[in-house]
Amino acid sequence: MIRLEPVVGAKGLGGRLDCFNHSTKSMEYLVEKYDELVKKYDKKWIAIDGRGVVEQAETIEQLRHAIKKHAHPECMVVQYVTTEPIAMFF
Amino acid sequence: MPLKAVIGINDGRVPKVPAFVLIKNLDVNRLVWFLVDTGSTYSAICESDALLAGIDPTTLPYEKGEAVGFGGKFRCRSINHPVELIFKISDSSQFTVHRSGFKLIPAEHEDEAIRRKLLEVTPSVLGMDVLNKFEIHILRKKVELIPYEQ
Repeated sequence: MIRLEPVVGAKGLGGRLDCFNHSTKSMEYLVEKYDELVKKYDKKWIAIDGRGVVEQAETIEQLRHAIKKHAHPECMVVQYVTTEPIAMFF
Repeated sequence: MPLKAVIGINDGRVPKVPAFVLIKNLDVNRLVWFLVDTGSTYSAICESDALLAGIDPTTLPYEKGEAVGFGGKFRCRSINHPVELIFKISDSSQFTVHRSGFKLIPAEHEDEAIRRKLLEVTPSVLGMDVLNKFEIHILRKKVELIPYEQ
């Protein structure tokens, strides 16, 4: 079942529209700064909120706990970064 | 007039699009970036994204059948609750895909180091069960998914 409708709850970052926009900025930041970030946070999980890294951790469990204190963790981009070259085939 | 599309990002390695994963029964509401994977039959959420969304994979049942990837055979877990994937369309409308039995790719291996590696590198994927609802354009720096039903 498919439907097209306005994005709801677009007031404040709690709204999905703001969350989409915020997360896209975070992903653009990750892509743009990836080479710098991977050197600085090698082999770490990082959380990006808008235009910067707000948390880092050794494990996803630690990062999940760390981002809970932020206002909208559900909108953050979380990524494991490593200088280790990995070829992915899915 | 430009076509209405889901807009994602192509970093030159992996094309990804964002979607809200909404599972009302589990109180899950998180934005997840999915790899656009035309080689996958089904869509699935990876264990790291599931953990961030507050899903404990060990509480979910295994799928009956096996899954096959380049890494060999494995078994998905099944999110045995209704799942909504909510995409943002470029005109700020939304496109919702409803799924039951949505799959979760567990990071499981008897060797803890390998399990950690699986957790770190396995992405959430949008497979053809969802992608077949879109015309797909992978451009140099972005991805466009144009819904067939507009």
